[in-house]
Amino acid sequence: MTISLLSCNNKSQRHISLSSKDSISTEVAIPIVRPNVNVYIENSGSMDGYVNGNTEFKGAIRDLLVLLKHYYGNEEKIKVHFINNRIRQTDTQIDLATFATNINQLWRVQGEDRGSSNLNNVFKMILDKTDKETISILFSDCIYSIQGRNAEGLLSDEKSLTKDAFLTRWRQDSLKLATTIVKMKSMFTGTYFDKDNVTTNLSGDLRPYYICVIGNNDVMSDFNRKIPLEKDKIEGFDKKYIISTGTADELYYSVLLRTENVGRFKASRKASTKEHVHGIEDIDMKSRNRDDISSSKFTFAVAVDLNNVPVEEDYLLGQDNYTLGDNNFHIKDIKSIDKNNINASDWVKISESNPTHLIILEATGSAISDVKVSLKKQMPQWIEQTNIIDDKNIKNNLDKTFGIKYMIEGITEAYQIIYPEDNNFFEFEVKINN
Amino acid sequence: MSKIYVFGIGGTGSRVLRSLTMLLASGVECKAKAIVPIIIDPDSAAGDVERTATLMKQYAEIRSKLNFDSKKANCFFKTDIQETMTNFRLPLSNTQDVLFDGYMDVSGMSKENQALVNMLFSQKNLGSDMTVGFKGNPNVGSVVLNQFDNSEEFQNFANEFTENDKIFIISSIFGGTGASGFPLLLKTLRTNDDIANKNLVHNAHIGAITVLPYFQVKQDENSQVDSATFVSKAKSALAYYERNISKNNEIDSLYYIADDTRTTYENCEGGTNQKNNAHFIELMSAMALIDFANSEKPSTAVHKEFGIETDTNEVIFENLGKVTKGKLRKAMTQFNLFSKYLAENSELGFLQQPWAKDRAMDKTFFDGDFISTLEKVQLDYLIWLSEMTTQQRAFTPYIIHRNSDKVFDLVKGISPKRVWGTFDSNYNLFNNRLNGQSGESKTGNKEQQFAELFYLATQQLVKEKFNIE
Amino acid sequence: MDLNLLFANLYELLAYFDGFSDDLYDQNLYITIGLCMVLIPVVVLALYYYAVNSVRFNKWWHWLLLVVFLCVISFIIAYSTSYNELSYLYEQQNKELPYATEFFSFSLINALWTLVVSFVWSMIIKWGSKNCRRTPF
Repeated sequence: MTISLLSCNNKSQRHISLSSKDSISTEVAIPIVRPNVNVYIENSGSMDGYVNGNTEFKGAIRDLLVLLKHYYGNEEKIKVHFINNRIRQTDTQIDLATFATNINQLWRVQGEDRGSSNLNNVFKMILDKTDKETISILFSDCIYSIQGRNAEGLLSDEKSLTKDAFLTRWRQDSLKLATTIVKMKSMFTGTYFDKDNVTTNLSGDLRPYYICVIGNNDVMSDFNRKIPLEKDKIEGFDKKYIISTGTADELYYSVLLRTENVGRFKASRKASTKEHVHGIEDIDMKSRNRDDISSSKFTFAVAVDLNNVPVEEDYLLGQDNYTLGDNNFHIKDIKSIDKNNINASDWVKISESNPTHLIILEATGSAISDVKVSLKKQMPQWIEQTNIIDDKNIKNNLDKTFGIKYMIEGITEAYQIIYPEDNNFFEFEVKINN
Repeated sequence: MSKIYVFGIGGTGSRVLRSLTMLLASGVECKAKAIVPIIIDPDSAAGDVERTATLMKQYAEIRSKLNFDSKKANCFFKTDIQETMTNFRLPLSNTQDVLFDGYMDVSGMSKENQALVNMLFSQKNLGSDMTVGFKGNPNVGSVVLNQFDNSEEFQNFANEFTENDKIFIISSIFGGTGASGFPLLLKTLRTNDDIANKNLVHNAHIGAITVLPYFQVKQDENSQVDSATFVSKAKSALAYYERNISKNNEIDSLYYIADDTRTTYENCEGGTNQKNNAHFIELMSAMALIDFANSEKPSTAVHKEFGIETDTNEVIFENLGKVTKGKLRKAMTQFNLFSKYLAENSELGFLQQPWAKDRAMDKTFFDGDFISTLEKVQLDYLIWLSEMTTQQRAFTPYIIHRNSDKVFDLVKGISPKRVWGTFDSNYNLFNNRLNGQSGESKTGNKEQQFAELFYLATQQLVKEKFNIE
Repeated sequence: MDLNLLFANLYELLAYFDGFSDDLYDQNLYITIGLCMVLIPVVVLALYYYAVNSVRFNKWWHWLLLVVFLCVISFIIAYSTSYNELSYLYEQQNKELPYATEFFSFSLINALWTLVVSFVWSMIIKWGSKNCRRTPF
């Protein structure tokens, strides 16, 4: 009789308790902000090729405006502009849904100087108009126009100017800005001007362009969550890079005791709870059937919830993007969690917290110490890969953008100056007591 | 408190002394510093004498290991029984291997005396072998027993006698030895000037019980003992006593006891075979001594008789008078339980009990002399009880059985009460109560602890089960 | 005073079962099982020595029977509690219960501890018992 009462009690207790993860997410209150959204579409000459025909460019604009209308509702808050040397507002009565289809009619206006645009100038103008409650979205090919031979040197200068534009804005009122840069692809039919202003005609070739979203940190978090700037959600989506100042919320992580491990160990009860294991002890390198595996390297897996980390999947899986506290361990593998490959008792512990990935750590030698794992904030690979500094032969480098690396670096470095300690997206530590 | 010198004369004297010993063993209260039994019986091999002497020796042996200071509750064996003469007997000379006429030296008498002798004594009398007493012929006895003052042991007795000591004489009126001995002894004590401390002895508080006929013997032509003559002999003796004892205040307290309901015994002319079964009358005679011990020397002679409340052939406690019942019932029942416990339980059973282990009472102790002597006395006690149930006018206050499922179906007329607050009954309950005793039952030598322990436990049990206090 | 940790250390002193012991710890089952393992003998033996306190039951083998009985009870409690709770836990996650012999072994350890506790407790309290202070010796 006593037994059943006790076990009943336990069951009811289990149903009532919330997982720690739940409590964290409900505690962080996200202000329901209805920001103003200003969309700026660069319509300088180099952009003409993107609106020639039924392009992905147009499709993207359409998709974005529809999404904005849906999530940010009130059409008065969403304004579309054209930008080159200056900002040209469009009619406030415009129907956002059909804007993209009819964009050609609005593309040019008499007397407008669409010769070339100074990218840094564009940034300055946009940054000026961005405040606590405003999001600015720029559609541009993000190509610096330079004059002169020394492309690298000149690009560095442009970079500094970009950096300066962002720093200046920050100095104004210390606005915590966040920037998302999305690399898009679209059909381009028209003239391409290289760095020396030599033209190349392209017809129906896929060329990159960029959507830059700039806004206050909090508002941007909300934006990033709501507006899915990702593949299949917005036409022509290719890559993304989010520069923000928020470190992810305290991540959920837990050492798995019996999955992907080499060598046995116990959870350190001082450093653990029912929902997570943050410390381990009593490492034993003999396997269950008493084979001496001491020649193998001690290995264990950590389950982490990377859901809220504002980077793309392949950034998360890139081992080089991580740093470890010391050399005693290195990352052996990172993969997403498959319930079927997780040991049952490990699963029971972690399931309610919904971790997304496993990070598998392997000892480099026989030295064992506490392990600190950090995901660095650094520029994703695609930026380096998309960058060229000699765009003479554009037909062979269709996928590349001249000097894009410098632009993005400029913005990134501005952030590094403003937030010098903000180096990692997240970090966690596993205490090991041998 | 004083010593009481108890003279037990003849067969009856021995038997009453036996009952007295049993009562004292069971803890019946006796206000005497010590009892000093002196058996007078020319029948040196008399079965009753033998039995009584052995019993009293065993009693003394047991008592020597016990301690009765004021803190102790134990009353078993409380009264001291002292052996002042060898085997408690006053030796009578010249009764061995000689015939009566030889004893009197008839052949050396003058013709006139011889004629007197032939008139007083029958041929049979003259030819009696006196080794076995006087076979119911007080005329013979009165001659032979007139020798006390010559006896060295008697002189020793007188020497020891102190001021507050008392004397009690037990005899039967119908027998041979008793009937003759009593008056002779009394005369010696009161009048003889050749004894030591004669003033003390002459003036001492002296009591006696005269036991009137309470049994008969089977008719046997070859035997000199004939119970048909008991009554007539009693009558003549009583007349003699009235004149020569009561009237001149030779006796201070005289007790009488008799019964008309009588058992018939085997006709034994003495010897080891004269070992009669115990009788209720003998027990009550012992009670006379208890009463005597409690009393002061009166100014004139006091005569007492004994009676019971209800006239029934099977006497139980309820049938006794209130005073007698009060003195006997608790003590006898406690000792009965004590005896049954040791008789009916094996050592193995109680060696493991806390009461034994706590007091280090191990196998050695239980195999030792104290316990074995105690068990002999107790066995005798149980036999003594059962003998009395076979008599005419039986004393049968207990249901005698060895059924350990009904240990407390013991006292007739009282159904055992249920004891609450425990799962234990019968001997488990007994052990339970033994286990619960502490205090004085844990001090002193092991024998003392043993007696105290059982006294306290049986006291608790008789209260709980029978409401006897 | 963390009872869960205290009992965990006690049980795992004799045997640690990979996963199983951790699950017991995480689900706080050590507390239930441990408390039963301690309190039931304490109460039952106190009753035996002081409430029952009977000559009828004061042989050494009575005590032994009682202790064996307590060990069996302990065994059952440990087995059923751990089995039911953990089965439910894994069922909820649609995962197969990864333990089989551990339940038996753990329950046996529990019974063993009960034996120890019973013995020690008996030695301590028996002295005040009128009729059983020499049980079992």
